[in-house]
Amino acid sequence: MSSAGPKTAGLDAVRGIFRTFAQEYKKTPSKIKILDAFAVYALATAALQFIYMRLVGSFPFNAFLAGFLACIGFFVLTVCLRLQLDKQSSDFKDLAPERALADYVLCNCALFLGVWNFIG
Amino acid sequence: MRGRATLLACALWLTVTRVQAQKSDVLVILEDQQLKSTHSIFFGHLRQLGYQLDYRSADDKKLQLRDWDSWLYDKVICFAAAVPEFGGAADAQALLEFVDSGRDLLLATDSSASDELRELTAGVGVDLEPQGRAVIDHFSYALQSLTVDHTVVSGQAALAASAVLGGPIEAPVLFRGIGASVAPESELVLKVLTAGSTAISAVPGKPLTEAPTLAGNETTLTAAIQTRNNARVTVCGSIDLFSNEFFRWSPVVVTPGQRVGQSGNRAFATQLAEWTLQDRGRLRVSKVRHVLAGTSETPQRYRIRDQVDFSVDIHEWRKGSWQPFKADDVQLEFVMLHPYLRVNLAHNNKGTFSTRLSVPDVYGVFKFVLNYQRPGYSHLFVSEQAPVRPFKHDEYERFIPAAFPYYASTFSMMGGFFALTLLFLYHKRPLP
Repeated sequence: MSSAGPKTAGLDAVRGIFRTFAQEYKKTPSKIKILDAFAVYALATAALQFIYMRLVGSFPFNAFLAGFLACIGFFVLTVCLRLQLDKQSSDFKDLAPERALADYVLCNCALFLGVWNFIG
Repeated sequence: MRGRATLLACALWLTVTRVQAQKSDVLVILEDQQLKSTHSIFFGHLRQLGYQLDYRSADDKKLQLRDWDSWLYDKVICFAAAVPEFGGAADAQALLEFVDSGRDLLLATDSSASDELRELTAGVGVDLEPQGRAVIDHFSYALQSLTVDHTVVSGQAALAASAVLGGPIEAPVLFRGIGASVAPESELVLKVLTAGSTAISAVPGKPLTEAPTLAGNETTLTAAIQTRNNARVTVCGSIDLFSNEFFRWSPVVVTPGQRVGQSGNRAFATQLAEWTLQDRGRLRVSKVRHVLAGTSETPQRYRIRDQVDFSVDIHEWRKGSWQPFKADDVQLEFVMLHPYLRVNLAHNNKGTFSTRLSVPDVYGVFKFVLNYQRPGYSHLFVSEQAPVRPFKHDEYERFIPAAFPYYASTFSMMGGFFALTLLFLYHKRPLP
């Protein structure tokens, strides 16, 4: 009612957004959900490493860069795979999922090769 | 047969005479043979030092400095003034070439210096005053026994030249002759003897109607030049400075009323000649070594942040032999286009100068450069190339504890990738 100030109204709106998001997200196929989970995991690891670097210092900077970029790279590649598989909002309607996965595996191999070279 | 023998004898005779010419290693060119007796103390001192003096008249028709490409003398002393041109093959150009070849020249002249001599002194950066002028000092002059001649002035040995003169000379140095000017930007010319602040350069006996072009301390009486190839040239505006009369001048009365026991000419002239003939202030560098600290090996290239031991031996020619050089201002530079390091070298009193330096964190082609230039000493220049490389890929530290989280995260990402691929491949529910 009128007793509810603009503050609670704003909170309600945010809550509404989240609720809608959760409802909509349930419709997402479970394979895509797995991809999302891994993407979030990679981002969280990257953030942790960044915090660790700020706390401990940037001494083996190459190792930090390798670890950090491994996470970021993995995240980016996973998001790309998701874009290629999600048929609802995708430009890749003609692309077979097997082909997308093969690309993904190849790119990851290249990424980790670079990371191991750089980690020192 | 006989003709050939004569030819052989001729050739032999020629070689012998040439060898003899080479043995008398100081050519003394005198304008007037009388100078031999009036300057006997000076020449006697040189003979005592072991020099063989070959006296020649300035207008000697057979005067020659070189025989084709080989120089006949290593040092030339020239006491000449009015001689319009030298006899034989010696002229200003030849004497300048003589200096260019790294040989030494002691030149004394006076007020009547000819154009030939002017060309010669101008070639080494000393500009003599016009002919006829002399250095006059109406306030500070030496009294002769009867007449008062204001052209015998007392010069001041410059403090900066004490390395040339082997130490400061306190007694006044008497001078009668022509002054010279030295361009202030000249790097190689050192003023050894300058006139007092009241001296002027003018024609004696004539009234002075305009301001003199050269006056006071600016008037250079004696200049010492060490060229870039370590040849030494001394230009003195007075022949009398080296004479027995000036050596023995005592007591010296420098007006007003100042009385000094003995003139400093003898010490000045002999020291100056010793320096010019490379008997003093001559440095030699040998045994340039640089090794990895703690070892005795010189690697083909150093690594960044390496410790390097550098050492070099420097000796000084003193009293007829090479003695260890002692100085605290010898510096070493580590140069790549510009010096990255400039460090002092410490010496061990035995002539070995050394230091330990750490290579900077920059790689490229470096040089060890020792560039020692001090007035009165021969220039030393040593340049040794020393390339510096970065760490090799296997020279970095491995498995640093601080980096374990990064290693772990990389493993975790790889594990994640593996798990994701498996899940993706074996997941039952298809994509919509």
